[in-house]
Amino acid sequence: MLGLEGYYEPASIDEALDILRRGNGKPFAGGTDVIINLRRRTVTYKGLVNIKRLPGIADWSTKPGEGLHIGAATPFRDLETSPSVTQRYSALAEAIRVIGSVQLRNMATIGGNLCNASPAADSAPALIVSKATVAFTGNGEGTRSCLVEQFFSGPGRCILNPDELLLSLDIPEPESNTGDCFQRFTPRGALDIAVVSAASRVTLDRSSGRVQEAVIALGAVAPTPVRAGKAEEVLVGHEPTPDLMAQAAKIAKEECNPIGDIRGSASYRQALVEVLVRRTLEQAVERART
Amino acid sequence: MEHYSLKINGNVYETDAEPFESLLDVLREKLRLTGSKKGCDEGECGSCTVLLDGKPVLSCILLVSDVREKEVLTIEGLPQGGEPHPIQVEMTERGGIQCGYCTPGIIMSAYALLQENPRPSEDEIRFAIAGNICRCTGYNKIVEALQAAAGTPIR
Repeated sequence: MLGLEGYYEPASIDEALDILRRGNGKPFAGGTDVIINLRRRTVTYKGLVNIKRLPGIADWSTKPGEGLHIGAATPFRDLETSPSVTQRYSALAEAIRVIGSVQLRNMATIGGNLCNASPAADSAPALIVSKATVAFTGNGEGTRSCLVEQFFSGPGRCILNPDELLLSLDIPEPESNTGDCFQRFTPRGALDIAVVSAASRVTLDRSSGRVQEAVIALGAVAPTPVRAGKAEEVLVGHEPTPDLMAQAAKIAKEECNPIGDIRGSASYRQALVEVLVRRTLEQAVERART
Repeated sequence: MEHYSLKINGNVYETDAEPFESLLDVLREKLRLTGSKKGCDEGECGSCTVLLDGKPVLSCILLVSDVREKEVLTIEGLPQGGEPHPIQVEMTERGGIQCGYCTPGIIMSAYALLQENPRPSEDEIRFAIAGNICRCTGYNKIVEALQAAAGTPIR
């Protein structure tokens, strides 16, 4: 069944890495991508390595001033139902609420969503604008970390080697005078994959009200989630007027280069980028002001 | 093959299974608990919804090894003393059921919602059952049945 030679449930990270180094399997947690792909026979694995019993891998915590620390195998629904997450991390909460369904989010994990590395992964743009980092372990080199923005290397590919394991994410505490927002477009309201998604985060200068920093991330318009750097640049140092935000959205549209596929043509995706960047910027600025 | 003692609907079921078999296959094929339905078998339709430690999950992609030391509630576990659960009664009486295939999953999602939020708004009901696809009813009759079961006004 499923062509598997082995099924492992390591109880420690050392044990898990030993199994992975011997080339014995694919790590998985929620299984909502790995198991489905295996059944569809779009991939084959020698074995499966269930990481959910690793100590702390599904735990998360937050303390005022210390940001959010999330074990890689934390189900989305655990975060979605926690006011300490939803009240402080708006873009992330908005992204999580549209992933799959309630049942799926009780299983699917935040680390799995990143490792699956879909260009349309809803959590990715929100985590990128939140300046989230991931910590992972590999060949005896101890724990390494990088920004989520640097984690993806192509459609379905991330920078982890097959013998490395994603352990946790850290999201810094939101700065004051900062707001963020995530929106996506899908034909259905649930159980759908983004045609385009966008997250924006704006920090305003306290005295002048001008944009001190802007971060814009887009999903489903490139082989990986991407930043809209030129659109960000045009905002910095200026008052975030509706005209300026519309101008930034137009620049984001011009600087992205999506493909056309079953979900939408390239030009449709670009049109959506302009709309979603404008809307998320407006919302982020409003939240930064309150 | 491994041996599993599974806690389902308050009873312990003994069975042998491969650890990567789905809970749904074990329920239906080995334990003959066929109330949970197999629709898409890839986590999209919700007809296989069961509760795992009180939370709705998709038993078609949940591996049986992840059920160890946890409690499963299936549609068979809802009636009390031979009487159908109020959600089941309202779904039946208010036309929330047509072909019936999505029904066990809808009822389990609704049961999970009412456990944590006994008087949900219409939006909260629709959000909770968004992972359960019904191709017959158009959902309105289902939402009305769930509002009746919760004792909230029906629009």
